[in-house]
Amino acid sequence: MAGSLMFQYQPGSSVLHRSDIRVKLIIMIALSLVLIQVSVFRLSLLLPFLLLLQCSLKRRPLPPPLPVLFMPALIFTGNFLSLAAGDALLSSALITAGLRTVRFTFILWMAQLFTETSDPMCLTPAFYRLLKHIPLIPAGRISTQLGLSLTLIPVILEEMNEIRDAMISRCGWNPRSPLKNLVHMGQPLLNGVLLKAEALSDAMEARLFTEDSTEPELLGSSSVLLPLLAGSLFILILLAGEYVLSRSGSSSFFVQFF
Amino acid sequence: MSKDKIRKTVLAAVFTALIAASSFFTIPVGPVPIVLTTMFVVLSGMLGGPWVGLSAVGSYLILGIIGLPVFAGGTAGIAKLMGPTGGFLIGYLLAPVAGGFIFNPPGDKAKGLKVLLAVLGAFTAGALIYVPGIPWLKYSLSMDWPSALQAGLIPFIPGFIIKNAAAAALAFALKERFQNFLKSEE
Repeated sequence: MAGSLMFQYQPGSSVLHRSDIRVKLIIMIALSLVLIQVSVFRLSLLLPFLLLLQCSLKRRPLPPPLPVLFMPALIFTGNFLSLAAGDALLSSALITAGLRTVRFTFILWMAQLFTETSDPMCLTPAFYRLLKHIPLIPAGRISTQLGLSLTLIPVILEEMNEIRDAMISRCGWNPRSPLKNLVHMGQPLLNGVLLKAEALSDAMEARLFTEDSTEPELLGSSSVLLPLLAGSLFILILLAGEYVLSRSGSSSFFVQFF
Repeated sequence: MSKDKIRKTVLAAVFTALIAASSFFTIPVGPVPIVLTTMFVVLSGMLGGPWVGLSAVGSYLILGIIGLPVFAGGTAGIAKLMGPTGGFLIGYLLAPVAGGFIFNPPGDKAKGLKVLLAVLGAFTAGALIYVPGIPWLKYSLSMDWPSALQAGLIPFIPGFIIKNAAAAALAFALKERFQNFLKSEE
């Protein structure tokens, strides 16, 4: 569970907390699209933007879980070795591996900012309001499903760790027989989640849950226009600045890497 | 919403959460640790049926695309889907459908045949993840076929066998419970 604490909602009253979840979702998708191709210019412009958002929370960032701390090093090494083993020059392999690692860190950072400032209770209506505009998609069912799964992820992670700890304490965890471990861990886990599914569906049936109910409310005080303008303006400045400056003189600063 | 639809929605949500949570959970075996994500992707189709499985994996991909850290190792974003391992994520959509159809044929079957179908379903579904995965890896990293197979398949073979054997055993053991949950009176 400690591994996922970083991605849990922390109540607050910062600008990000007060921003509409749909706007945050759209900005996150737009930024991850911008990050498909990375350049030093793009990343160095994104860094102050993310720092600014982080500072607006007015609290120290949560320490990342241990596996996440090792991940950048793993990504850099893996990318560098695979590129260096191919046809790439050593310097080019270094730069590409470095940029891919920074991109990974930024995506993780954005996700952390989003989950830390978005109330899970408002996620389902936000998903519904976004998905209902897409034709042929059962927006009600999918948004319910997305909202439910987000609430269940920490519960299931905790259950997984509890089962593993119980197995270890009873000497039932044998590193030499991973198949046995998986079956012995999977059976109580799947039985446990089925019980949760039964309880959840009983509760929904008892409340006469329907897809066609009144649209659930988002936070009344959430602001839409300001964060949408700020996000769009930032992405516009980033893309326009890159276009104009890279035409005036080509430099490795603007070279894009996939 | 009918009782049947509610149960299918809830089960799909549970499998989405299981798939997402398992990306943080690794089992160290040899040089390449086992990540349980693919096992639950396969199980979502075998235990929930092809469409519940497809819906669960679709939701999992949506959560990842919008930037929530649910992909392997706590990563996220559309860049991950477009990156070298994106093909494996697309393969996740094929696995539950195949596993669900193979393991859940209409009519009652003998016990021996059920075991055979569980093994066949789990291994076929698991293998389908690699069908778009390896060519995508080869294309995105401009590799030749032997290098792509070396990077994306060979180190994962022991994990593939262990996870799919476990998926087959679990699906066979728990099929009845999950089917009873899904069979509800209107």
